Amino acid sequence: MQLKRIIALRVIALLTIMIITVSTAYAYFTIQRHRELTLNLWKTRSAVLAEGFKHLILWDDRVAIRQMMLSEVKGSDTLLYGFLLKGGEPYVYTFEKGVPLPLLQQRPPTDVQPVWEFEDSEDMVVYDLATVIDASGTALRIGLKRSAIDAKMQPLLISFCLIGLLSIGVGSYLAFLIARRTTREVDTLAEAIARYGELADENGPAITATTSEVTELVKSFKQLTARRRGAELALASLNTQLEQRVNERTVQLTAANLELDSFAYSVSHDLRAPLRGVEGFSCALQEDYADRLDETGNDYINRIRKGCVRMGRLIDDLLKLSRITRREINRVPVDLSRMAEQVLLDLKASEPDRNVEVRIDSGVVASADLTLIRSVLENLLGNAWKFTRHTAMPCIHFSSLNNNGDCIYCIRDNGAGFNMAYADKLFLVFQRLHRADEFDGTGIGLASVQRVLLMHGGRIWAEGEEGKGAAFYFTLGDKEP
Amino acid sequence: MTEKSILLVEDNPDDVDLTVRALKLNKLLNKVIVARDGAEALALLFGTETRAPIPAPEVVLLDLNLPRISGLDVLRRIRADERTKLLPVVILTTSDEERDRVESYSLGANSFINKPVEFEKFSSAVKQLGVYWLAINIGPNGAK
Repeated sequence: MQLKRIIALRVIALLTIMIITVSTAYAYFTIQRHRELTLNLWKTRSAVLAEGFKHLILWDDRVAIRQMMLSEVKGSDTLLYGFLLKGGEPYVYTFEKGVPLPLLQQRPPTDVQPVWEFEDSEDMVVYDLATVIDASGTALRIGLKRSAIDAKMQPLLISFCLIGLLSIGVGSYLAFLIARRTTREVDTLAEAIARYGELADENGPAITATTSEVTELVKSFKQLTARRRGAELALASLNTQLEQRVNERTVQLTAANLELDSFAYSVSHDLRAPLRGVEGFSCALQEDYADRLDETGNDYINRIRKGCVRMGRLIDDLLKLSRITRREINRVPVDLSRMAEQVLLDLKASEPDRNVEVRIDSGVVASADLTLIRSVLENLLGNAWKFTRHTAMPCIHFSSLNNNGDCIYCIRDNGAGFNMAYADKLFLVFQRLHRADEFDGTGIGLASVQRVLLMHGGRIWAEGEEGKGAAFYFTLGDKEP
Repeated sequence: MTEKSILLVEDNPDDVDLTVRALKLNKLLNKVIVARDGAEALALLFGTETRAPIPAPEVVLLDLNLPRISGLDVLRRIRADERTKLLPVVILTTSDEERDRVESYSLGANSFINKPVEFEKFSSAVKQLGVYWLAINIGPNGAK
């Protein structure tokens, strides 16, 4: 429903109630006043009549009295009856069917109230006026029809109703005008919101309001919208810029990846070829000319060849590391317990003489890339295998623990361990915490492991103590393995 | 009787010498014809205006990273030509890239061997492939 209509209807309702109340009250008091005045008039007339009847009562001329009474009754449509009492008894009256009982049952007229209101047998309200003529119970009583008295007021009441109705009509019209005027501001506001709110219609005719509050409101809204639109535009342009930047970066990244790719390729090919030459000819030298070299010479050749082999392994590991980043992670369910078992069997096969106690918790499963997670286990178990070489009773333990739904995998050994002060260097490329003559290695394994785990959304950390052993913990970023 | 020959396509002289040495050490005394790049290999196989093609070798040992015409292109040409499409080709390369491997096989390589840095391993590999291709394997033209 429109606000305009609601306001109009309410004002009209209020106006109508007020007009009806005031009119009714005024009509009521007017009628009361009219009755009072009429009754007073008739009291006077009754007194005049009673004065006239005094002589006729002395002469006992009932016929004359009755004549006068009847003429009075006939001459007025208000007067209902005349009733003269003498010594408290009916004397002369105008009733056609005798004196009605209610009038007779009254107490002596001397006691009678000047005006007595009663209802006759036909539910007609009658005012009975009594005028005492003498104290012996002689009195004149006349009956007046209330309806007849009120009938005189009818035109006045009708005009009252008409004026009331007219007032209501005029009031309604005014109410409608007021409502329209009042809600015009609301309409202005609605228009402003519609126009400034959605569309960039700032060039259209300005919206003007009448009241200062609404003018202020419209102004603020316009400013607010302008600011919002500005912000939206800024955001959109920022988004575009961002997208553009992302695109640029993607192109750069793709280029960088391609470069890295070709770099790795050329490393794999061009770096290894000369190395193979050095190693091969050193070998040839040793094979063909060993007898012409002394012990020192042969030792040098051995060192050259060892260096070549080591460098070859470094190149291979570096290549593996660079290949990891080029791979897509393809998660599948993996039975890590079984995989760890296989890896350790392989290690055992490579060094069958070693006696290492292996404990693998059963049922450790994960969701991970099969190839990559295998390289992780190979590296970590391989490290555990390697660093327990000089331990008297070597032990390797693979387990998992639950940390608030995150599965943490742990590989623990009682080998050489490491100083926790260097823990942050463990996972950096080429960082080694042991001398090469103690434990061989390229310093790339743990860096590869960390890269694999990061690519899975997991992480790795380690705890250790020199001479006591090390524990490597890792997660795979899978909530439900 | 024609001697069983090997065509070695290899641009690195060190690798040529080492391969030859490995063959010799393993008593594979066949004739080794060396091509120093892809173009030379194709010229030897298919002949030029001035020279007739060499008799078909028993096996081609093909490096991938060659100047001018790459090993994969050489392989493609060998397989495309009616005369050589059945010729056994062994890729002998430093690369162990998956894409090289896959591409070599999809172009019809018979074998893919990664040259290890250690000469002893390399020698052992050469020995095995020599024995296999020259003594055990029977080529498309049958035993000679």
